[in-house]
Amino acid sequence: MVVILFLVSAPLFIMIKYSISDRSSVVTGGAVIPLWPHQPTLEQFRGLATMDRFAYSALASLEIALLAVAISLLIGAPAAYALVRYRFPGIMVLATFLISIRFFPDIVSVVPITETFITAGLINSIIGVALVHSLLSIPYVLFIAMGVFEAIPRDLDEQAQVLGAGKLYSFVHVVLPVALPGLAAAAIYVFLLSWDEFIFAYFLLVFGDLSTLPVLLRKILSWTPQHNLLAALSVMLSVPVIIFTFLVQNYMRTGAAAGAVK
Amino acid sequence: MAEITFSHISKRFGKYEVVRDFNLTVQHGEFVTLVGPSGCGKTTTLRMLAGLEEPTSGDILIDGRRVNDIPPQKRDLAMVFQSYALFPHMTVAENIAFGLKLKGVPRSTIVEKIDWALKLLTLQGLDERRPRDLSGGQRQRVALARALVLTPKILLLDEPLSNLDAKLRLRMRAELKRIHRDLRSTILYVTHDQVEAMSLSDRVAVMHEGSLVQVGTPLDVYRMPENIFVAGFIGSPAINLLPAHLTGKGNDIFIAIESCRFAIPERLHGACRPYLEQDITLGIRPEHIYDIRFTQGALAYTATDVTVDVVEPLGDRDIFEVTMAGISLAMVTDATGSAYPGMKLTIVFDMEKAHLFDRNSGNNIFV
Repeated sequence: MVVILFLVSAPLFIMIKYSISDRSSVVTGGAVIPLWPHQPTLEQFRGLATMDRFAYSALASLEIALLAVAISLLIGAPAAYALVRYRFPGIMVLATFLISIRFFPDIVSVVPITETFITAGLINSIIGVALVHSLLSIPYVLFIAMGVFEAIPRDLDEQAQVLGAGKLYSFVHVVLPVALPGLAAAAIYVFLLSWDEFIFAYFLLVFGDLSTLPVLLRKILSWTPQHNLLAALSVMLSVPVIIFTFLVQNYMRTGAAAGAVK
Repeated sequence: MAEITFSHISKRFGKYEVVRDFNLTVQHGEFVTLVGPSGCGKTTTLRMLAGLEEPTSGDILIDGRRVNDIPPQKRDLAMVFQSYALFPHMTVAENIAFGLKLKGVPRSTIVEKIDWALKLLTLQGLDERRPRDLSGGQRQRVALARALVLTPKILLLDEPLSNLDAKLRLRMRAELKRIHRDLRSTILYVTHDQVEAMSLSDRVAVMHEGSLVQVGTPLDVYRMPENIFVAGFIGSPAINLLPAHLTGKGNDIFIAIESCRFAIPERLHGACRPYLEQDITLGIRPEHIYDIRFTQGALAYTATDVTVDVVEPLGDRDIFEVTMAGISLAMVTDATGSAYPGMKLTIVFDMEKAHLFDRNSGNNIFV
């Protein structure tokens, strides 16, 4: 337990420590690096905040993540609903096929995808990265959303239909609102996946000016290995992850379908 | 009001035929109950009428028009699900308004209708609540309100009272009857509770293993069950079904149960003749077995001695479990407290009201 705790917290500690280290605590000229910085400072964060490339990348990351959320939910949620509600032959084969991209290591699919995107003129663009991130997310969205829809009693759609609603109306006005908290969890998951994703974003953006935050981290790493600045960037990368994790937990707690049946 | 016709309806789920060759016509404004044990196909039949299931074969007609291919939302009927299926993200008022909004009813009329329904079902003051904050009985009434505001031609009710406590169930039963009288909708009601079926309906349709076994007014079905299943299903406490043997002696016909003999009334002799000297099942309802101390002498020739095992006092009447020649049977008497366990009793079978069932087919030989 202690070992695990140490293994988990040590890198976090080092990251945070470096991010607030002053220069003399990093460049020690051969002396041992102190356990806690001599003079803790927010200098690096200030530096990041005034750095154009950081702001652009953060904005790009945000746009890509939001686009990925929108695309993967728009495609994934209705697909999951169809898979859950309509039984037709070969449904398991179809479901397996839809999540099959996750069977391969990312590094295997990155080359053919980059190749295709170059031909399609989708590299160095926000939409390109968002599309790839959607592709990566859809299996997860499908998986989560299928669970969400399965938990919604079929009686609800049927009741809506008997009361005069068409299939689309009952999906939009009855099923979707009930599914919302569950789908929000899926959305946050997609957001985080896109926010953290490196390999695909790197391949698609490596030769252009556009960067997501992880790609920017890599680009800075290759030019000026300035530990404390990198650490500060890493912290900035992690903060949304922590915030959203708390949000997810809050959403998970609300029982959406409570009171629907019996 | 509308007339519903099921014509040779069958429904298969894979290998299982859950409804087979079902034929029934429900008249304009009639209250018909489909009753039977769980899994007999009654809910499936209702769902086929609602358009939620497609019949494997046969036709469903509403007012003479074939509706097999019409989607549920265009059939102009309302249904209350056994599970209530309230929309959890909507308030009570929004739930009730759901169908009206879809019909394009003007806002002011919707408000009026909601008020009317809340009052009718004593839900006043709950309109802003969400389903999760309601009790089972309140949810059930909201589900009913949501259907009633549509003043549908046809109202389908699937075990709507099954989750209510006994007192509320009684009140809702009366309420449903009143609503039916006021709205004159054609109502098709599904229940496994035969008391509910008897007390509510104009006609009762008894289903067993996917087939319709008997249709008739509650009294007809109670008095003249066509087969042993209906006899056993309708009536509470349940009818006594006793293994017996038919014997003839001169001009008399007797039914023999172990060492006891009961004479069959003369008007029924004709039906009995083909079964003479054969094994048969006697069906006699607990309320048609009398304690000889409280009967006139006319029936005395069918008397026999029994021992009382159990007495169940119900207040206005008692149920006795008695043993007759090693066979246990139930009887009901309104002479409460007239017997105690272990007491010897002389009882009389009212053979005018007894039924005899063919051992092989299970059919009532008097029908």
